[in-house]
Amino acid sequence: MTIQFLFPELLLVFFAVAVLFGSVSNFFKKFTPVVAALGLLGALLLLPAASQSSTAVFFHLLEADTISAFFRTLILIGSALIVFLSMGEPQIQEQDRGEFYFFILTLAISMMIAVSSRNLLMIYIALETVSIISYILVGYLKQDAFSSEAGLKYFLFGALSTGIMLYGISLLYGLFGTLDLPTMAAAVKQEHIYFPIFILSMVFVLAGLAFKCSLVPFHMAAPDAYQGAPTPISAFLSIGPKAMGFALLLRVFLGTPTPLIAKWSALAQWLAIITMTLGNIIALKQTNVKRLLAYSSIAHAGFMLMALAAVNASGIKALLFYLFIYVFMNVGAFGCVVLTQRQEVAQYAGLSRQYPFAAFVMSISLLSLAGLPPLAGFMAKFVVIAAAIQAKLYLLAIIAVLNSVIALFYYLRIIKAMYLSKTEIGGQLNSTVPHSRALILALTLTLLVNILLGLWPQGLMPWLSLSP
Amino acid sequence: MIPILSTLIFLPLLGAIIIFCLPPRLEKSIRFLSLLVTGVVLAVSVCLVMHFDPAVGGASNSMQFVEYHPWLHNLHIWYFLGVDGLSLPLVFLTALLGFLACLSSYEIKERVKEYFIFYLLLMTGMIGTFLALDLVLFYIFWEIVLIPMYFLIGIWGGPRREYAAVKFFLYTLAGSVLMLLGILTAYFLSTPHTFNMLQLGLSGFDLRWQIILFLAFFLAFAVKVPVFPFHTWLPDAHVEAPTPVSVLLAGVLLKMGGYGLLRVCFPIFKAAAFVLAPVLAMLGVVNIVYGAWVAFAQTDFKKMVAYSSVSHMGFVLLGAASLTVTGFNGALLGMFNHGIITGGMFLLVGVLYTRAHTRELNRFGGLTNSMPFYAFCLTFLSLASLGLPGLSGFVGEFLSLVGAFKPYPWLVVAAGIGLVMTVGYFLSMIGRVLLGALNPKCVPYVDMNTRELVTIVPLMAIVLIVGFYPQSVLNFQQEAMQGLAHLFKL
Repeated sequence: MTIQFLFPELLLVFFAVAVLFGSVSNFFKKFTPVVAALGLLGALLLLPAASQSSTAVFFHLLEADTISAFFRTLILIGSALIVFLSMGEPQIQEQDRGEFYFFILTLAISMMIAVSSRNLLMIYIALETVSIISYILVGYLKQDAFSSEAGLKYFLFGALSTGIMLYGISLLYGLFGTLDLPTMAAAVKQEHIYFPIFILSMVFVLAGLAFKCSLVPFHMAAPDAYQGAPTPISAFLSIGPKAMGFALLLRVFLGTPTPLIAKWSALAQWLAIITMTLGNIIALKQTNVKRLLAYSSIAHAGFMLMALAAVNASGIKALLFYLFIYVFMNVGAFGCVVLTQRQEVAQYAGLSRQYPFAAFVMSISLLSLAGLPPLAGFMAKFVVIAAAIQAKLYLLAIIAVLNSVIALFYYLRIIKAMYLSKTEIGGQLNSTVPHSRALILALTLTLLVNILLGLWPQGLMPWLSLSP
Repeated sequence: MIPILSTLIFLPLLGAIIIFCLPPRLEKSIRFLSLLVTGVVLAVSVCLVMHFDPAVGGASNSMQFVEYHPWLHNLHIWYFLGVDGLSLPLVFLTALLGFLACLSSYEIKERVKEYFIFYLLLMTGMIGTFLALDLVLFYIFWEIVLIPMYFLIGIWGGPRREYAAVKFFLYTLAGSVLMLLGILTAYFLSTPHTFNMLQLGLSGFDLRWQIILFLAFFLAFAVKVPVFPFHTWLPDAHVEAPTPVSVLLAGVLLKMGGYGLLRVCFPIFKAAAFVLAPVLAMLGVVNIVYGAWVAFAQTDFKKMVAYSSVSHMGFVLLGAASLTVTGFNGALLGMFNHGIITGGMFLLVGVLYTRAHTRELNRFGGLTNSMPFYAFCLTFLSLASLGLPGLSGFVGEFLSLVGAFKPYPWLVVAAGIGLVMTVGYFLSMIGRVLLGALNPKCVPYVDMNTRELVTIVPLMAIVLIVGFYPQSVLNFQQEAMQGLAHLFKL
């Protein structure tokens, strides 16, 4: 039964509706985040059973392979962490909570559908759903002008790039007469396809996905959106749609056959170089932590693209590992912003004495993001760079490691403020929010993952390897 | 059978974790616990030296106390530790200085808990670097050193500590990321793919790759040594770091660079070492002369000792670049001696600083009368450092120069200029600080107390023993150095 494949999504739909209706009553409203978290957990438990079906399901629209299984797990874990983060965010607690968690659940559902799609039309529909929900969530703080502005900007850029993508898809349909990716791949191999148009339309498709991954030059909305959005949503945008974007890049570009692969590798290599360098250099000058993390997430997108530019099995495994670790690193860093409610780097001065736990989690997350051993971020960087070197992309590898030195510089600015600075900025710690215990739980989880997966990555990922 | 090497590495880590769990107000227990841990580490390292068999040797299988376990076996990364004549003196040096500097850490008064956590983490990283025989493991320990060092300089340092800490971190990281690329490239070029240092030494790469990889590794080590022109982080870091951290910085961290050169660059990229050795020798002489020249001009006591380190590490580089047994012996012994002597010098600078709160050489003068013990120690270590025969500094530098004389006679002559200048600036320092009438700008300070004497006397004893009987150290390193030099016999 192919419906089995969709059980986790169906469960989430059920919970999403429950959250939406529950939020009508003042009594049930209190429990909406817990219900949302339970739904995500339940879906996570259903996932192993759901993945045991044939490869192509649902009228050949969805693919039940290891990639979809991995990304669905990742999206569920990431969404659960975001729910925990939101429970500690007073700005969200003050608003109408029910619809917020409804959006988080639906965003998770649409991303899960997107990563399993093998048909470009299905991909487009799921992608648009993700986009629309993210626009709403970015502008969720209706009274906050900054948030609304961020939502509008995100919408304009997003609409433009998905529009380009749709145009590319329509061209592809004209060329192939189908939007099923494997069929298209087979057709490229056998038949005579007019190549320039094919390349052009693939570049158009890339534009839409590049926006989700925040690759240069489609990164411009990201910093504004991250800064203006409620912090848990910034964290969500930096992990969820990005993971989905990379899953789709993997499906669309590495699923296609050899004629395109060489061109893809060259293009991806330069995109990766430009993305990581630009992201890092602009991050150097940032004074707002959320904006700084936005640019850092752009730089990290460059790193992940490096794994795809390598076009080998190590690269794909490295990408999956990197994304998994990246979710925890970024949630850790954004979670500390939620916990401390401080947005400027200068405000972090003396945090290590006021709130050692927050400072510690933040430092570990940042050092992990910087890729320092023995933290998980190092292992992630290690396998990605290894994949690039295996593919003999030496220039890319050199630029990548030099970038990680630049990156350390701005991560250190926050750590310097927290530990080295003698001045203290008085500030109320966010301990009055009723559910902040969930936030602490999420932060502890990221801490554990950042440390343990650095020491023993095979514990969770036995498939991680450097073999060709 | 207790895995003695793992004990050495992870005992400080365990101590750090225990201290992490203690409440910060228990300062006394925290100090005592750290002292206990470093003391046990020292005891274990002495055990290691006692049980080490100096006769075991040969070209490649000279490792003892080997621990070889799969760690990340899909990634072909092994938990591979071993000790040989090359690493043994440095491990002992680390344990000894770690203990003595911990004793001298009693001057740290604020944020004691955090200090000792970072301190013990640093110990773990340093000892691990000298014992790891898998390149990735080596890299991980190498980098672990950076984080605690950053905090130790940045939190407990002098007025410009933040600048110095960031500069130290970025310089060393910039060097070491290229080493990471080198490690991965070496892995994919070798057949079968391996990160094992000993196996990589057996797989021949072609010369072009050897030179590229040698340079990638060399850059990382050159920043640590530090080789001119990558030395500029060192004076800043030294001047700003608190005394115990300076001791470890000069005594151990600089040795990591020299050790890496002898452990990784030379044996694995033999052909490249042949080609590049003259360049290394020249850089070594530049270090010797330039370091001494700049040290002459310093008025800050610590900065002077820092630049003297640059000069002394030049001898190490020159000796290693000779590619002869004598030169290698000189380089390794020189590193050991430099660690002991300069570690002691920094302790003495610290003694003065805690009393005067300044390190300006011109602010002192005529301290001999009020501080006879101090004057004796300072004179003794200065003479050792400038290479007086009979004290340890002489032996290492002499061996380096003898080794280098045959391949590079003119460079050795040039290094002689550096030696003369070294005598000059040390004597001028002694004159300014100790001799003459009491400087009106300073008061007669109290002489060294028992704790300070306890930290310095063992070092002086070693200086004397090694000076009179160099075989005491050379015996242990002889086999390994011969194995290394054997690789370069034509």
